[in-house]
Amino acid sequence: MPNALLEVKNVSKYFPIQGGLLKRPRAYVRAIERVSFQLQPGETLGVVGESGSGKSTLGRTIIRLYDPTEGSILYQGHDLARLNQKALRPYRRHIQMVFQDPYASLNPRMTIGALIEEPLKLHTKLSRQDRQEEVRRLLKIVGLSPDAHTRYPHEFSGGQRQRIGIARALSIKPSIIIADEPVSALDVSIQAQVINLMMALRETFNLAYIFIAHDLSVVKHISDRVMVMYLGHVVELADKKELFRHPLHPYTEALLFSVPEPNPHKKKERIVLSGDIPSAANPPQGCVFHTRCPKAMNVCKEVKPVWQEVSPRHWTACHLHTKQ
Amino acid sequence: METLLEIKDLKTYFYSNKREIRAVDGVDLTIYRGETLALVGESGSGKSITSLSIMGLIPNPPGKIVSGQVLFEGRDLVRLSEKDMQTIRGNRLAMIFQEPMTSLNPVFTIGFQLTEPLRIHQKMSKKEAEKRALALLELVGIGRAAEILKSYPHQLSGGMRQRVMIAMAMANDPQLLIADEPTTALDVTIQAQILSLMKDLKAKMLTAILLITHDLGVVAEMADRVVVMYAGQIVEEAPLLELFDNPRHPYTRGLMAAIPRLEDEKEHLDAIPGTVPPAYAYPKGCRFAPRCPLKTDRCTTEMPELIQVGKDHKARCLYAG
Repeated sequence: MPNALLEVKNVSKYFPIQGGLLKRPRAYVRAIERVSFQLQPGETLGVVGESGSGKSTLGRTIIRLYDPTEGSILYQGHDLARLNQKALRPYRRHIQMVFQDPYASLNPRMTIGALIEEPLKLHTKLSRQDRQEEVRRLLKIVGLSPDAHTRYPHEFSGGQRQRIGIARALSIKPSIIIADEPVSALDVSIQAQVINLMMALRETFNLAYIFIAHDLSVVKHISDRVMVMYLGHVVELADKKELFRHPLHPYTEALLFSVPEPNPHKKKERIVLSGDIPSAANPPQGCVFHTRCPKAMNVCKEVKPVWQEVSPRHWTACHLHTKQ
Repeated sequence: METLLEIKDLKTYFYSNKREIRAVDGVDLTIYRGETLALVGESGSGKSITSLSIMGLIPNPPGKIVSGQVLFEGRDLVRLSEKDMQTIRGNRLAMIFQEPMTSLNPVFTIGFQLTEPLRIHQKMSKKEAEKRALALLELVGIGRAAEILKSYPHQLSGGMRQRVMIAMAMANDPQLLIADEPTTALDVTIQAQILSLMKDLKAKMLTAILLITHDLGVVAEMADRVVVMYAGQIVEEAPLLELFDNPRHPYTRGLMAAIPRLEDEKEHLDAIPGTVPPAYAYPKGCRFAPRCPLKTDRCTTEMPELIQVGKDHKARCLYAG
């Protein structure tokens, strides 16, 4: 589709493992490997995977907290991957990030007002008075009292701090928000409040989200499309309903069956995967999932499966579904 | 059903900055032999402090069990000396925690840490203990057991470490295993492994499990009975199916409505408004009243009792009866 807001093309990120006297890289951790996808305006793309799947690295690479090892990140046609930090600055305001732990990402010595005002100072030419008015307006939008601007982060609960993080990200009117596990540190009753807020803001501001989380139920709730990652690779990508009804990749299947559901009447058939995720410094040959795959065939050990559109808008990389 | 452990009017308070923090505030609880009882609640509900009180692990100061009894096999654990408690802890009563890395000692091998309780509690020789340790690791589904005995905790994955913790807890055939968020730090596919292991062990060894969790999915999978805590008190108690089919306390109902579920496709989650009140400033009357959709004037003045609302079903709500 030509009108994608964001197009990520074959992006990889390797981290060097340094050693020896000269600190030369001895090996690389392949955190993400040739990831490609598009994001449309106003769309929510859920990214799920377990620890070590590369989902956080992906988010951080897109906003260039990390420099990609290869590939391109096209925002409205401009390749962010090729820009230096200075040239990148005007684009920063369009893609903002919300982190898991809102306490660690808010400076404890700054008031809430100063925190939300900071991006406005950097990215807009608003006067001091206009900025402060804007801060009060943003606080109201995220469901906090406009008078909260004189208080400090420690005076707020986890859910409220997450609201502050969201207000801050919203302040400079981004078109994309990358949210990395935004609700996983919150209690159930508060988690629902923040999810509802994020969904309401999406409508109001026509935001596109990249919503990174390990909790499949949360991702299913908020996303339009869902992408499943394993050991740095995208293994499946489809519209939400299609993915949850007809998972193609055995890893997606196992993931769906692993979630304990809050319904004691539903006794599920379990696919319990054996073993742990292999190390990304030394990923398996062939399909990266073959060491744990209940359906692995001989070909899986040798040949990397191709990323293919198996049915309309449903992509996977699995030899079971490879079309000649 | 035979009673294994009975908690009577337990109050565990903490004192800091001249404030009295009523973390556990009058809990009555019975655990029967061989059952899995889930203790559910959000942060600050008092579920972990209840379990630490059973184990005699409340740091004093700042904490103190100000009243109540914990009756286990005919003895009141609250009144035992630390020395007597040590003969029970890790022996008749065992506990596993959320983050196995912080509960394993990083400078000793798995083998040393696994054989220690056997040598102390069962006075085994080194050889005997090692043999038993191998058997325990096999019991919890660890292949390459001999190799694992020689490793250090950091060399193992999170799932492996939790298996080792469970092996350690099972070492002396405990009557009661307290599991405090045992799978919260683990990935879903690893969580599935650990949950199925705990079920197998329970069936094999007939150990009762007190499972502390915030995850209603884990509860549905594991529990025979469920106790819901809020703001230091039990607000509802019922057998598993009864609790899910017929929740009586508005907080329990609120929790069930607030979780996104894989199986349904509703657009809006029914969040519970507001936040949990701090444990040094509980509201007068019902502690859930400030967030309750059914609140009346009576709720803000009158503290509801935990009353019987059905067979084996109790709720702490003026309007549940």
